[in-house]
Amino acid sequence: MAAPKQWGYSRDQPVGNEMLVSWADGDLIEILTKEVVERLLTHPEERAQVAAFARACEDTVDPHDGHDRIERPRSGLTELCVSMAEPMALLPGEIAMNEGSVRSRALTMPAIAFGTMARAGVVLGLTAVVLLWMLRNL
Amino acid sequence: MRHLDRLLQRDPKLRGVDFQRLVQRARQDPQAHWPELVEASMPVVYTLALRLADDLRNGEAMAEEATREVFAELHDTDFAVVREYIGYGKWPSLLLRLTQNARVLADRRSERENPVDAAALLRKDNDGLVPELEPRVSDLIHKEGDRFSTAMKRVIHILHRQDRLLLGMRYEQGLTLRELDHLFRLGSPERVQSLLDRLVDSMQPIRAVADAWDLDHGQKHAVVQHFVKQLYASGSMETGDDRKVAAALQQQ
Repeated sequence: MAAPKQWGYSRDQPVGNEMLVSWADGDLIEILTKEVVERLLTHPEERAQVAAFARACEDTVDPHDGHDRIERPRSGLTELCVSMAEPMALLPGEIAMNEGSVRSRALTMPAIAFGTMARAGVVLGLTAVVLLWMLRNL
Repeated sequence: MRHLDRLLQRDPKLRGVDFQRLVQRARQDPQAHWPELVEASMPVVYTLALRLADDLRNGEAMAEEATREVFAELHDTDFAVVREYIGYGKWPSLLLRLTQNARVLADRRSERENPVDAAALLRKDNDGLVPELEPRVSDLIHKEGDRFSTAMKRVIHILHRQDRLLLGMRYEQGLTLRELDHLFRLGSPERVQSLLDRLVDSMQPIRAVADAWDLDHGQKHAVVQHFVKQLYASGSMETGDDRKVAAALQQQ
């Protein structure tokens, strides 16, 4: 049955949604089922996915340890998963290292290197002073 | 999933949770509703993971790892899964899909789909798996030639699409009767078996050769499996009826 042109149907869309509804006698579930089944018959990957889902459904029916109820995980797991959405807490130095742009990292890297060298210099200097003082007292 | 619905209804805390509304709220602002979403979904995911990991060693640790993985995926790329959730499906179904796809449960999944010990699966499901095609029958099919295979393919092709899908799920994907019962909601595994028997017995080419080839019950199913696999492999299970009708309409 061709849809009349005055109803707005064209060669591109020969069957309208109203016709689909009338074909299924107003049963929208049947239309949906038909579409889903046709799709499943055509696409092998989707058939495999549906089969895997059916297997998982069946596997989850078996009670665990004989207890057929919703189990509670240990409290730490819930807190761990809730904390996933929180921004990560970093130490001040790490913030400079992780969150900075390339330019700021270029500035902070020599600063950190200089700081380390300066600390090493102070330690060596103090050691030298102590050694000299000991030599003088010998 | 009906079983999970019953469990949720029985649970004193989760009974009052309206998952659809909760997820709709979370879609608007995932960051703000994340703790609420985790609080409500966590027991569901953990229970499903625990049951899927039941046979594994360190089942509880595996379940915890799978649960963590599911929530990491929900949170990943700025809550993409939550934001893209259409809202017409059921949220626990999505959680089950994510859980079964968790990496730590992948081995178990592949083991289930390609069973090494089919006898153990049979014992567990109390289900008759389709037997292998005997070499004798395979030779007979080969000798019968194209006429028989064309007739078989045609007879499968003219079945209702629901029946073709049932045959595909049974013989191509290898689902058990209980799984088929879950999928097609036929009531009980026995009814699925009787429907399959009726479908196989209604195939004229099978009836024609059953006596001459001395086919028993199992071998009839094996022959059908042989042809269903061939049909699905060649991709010719799509109906094409509607496409033909549309083409005819266009020609008019």
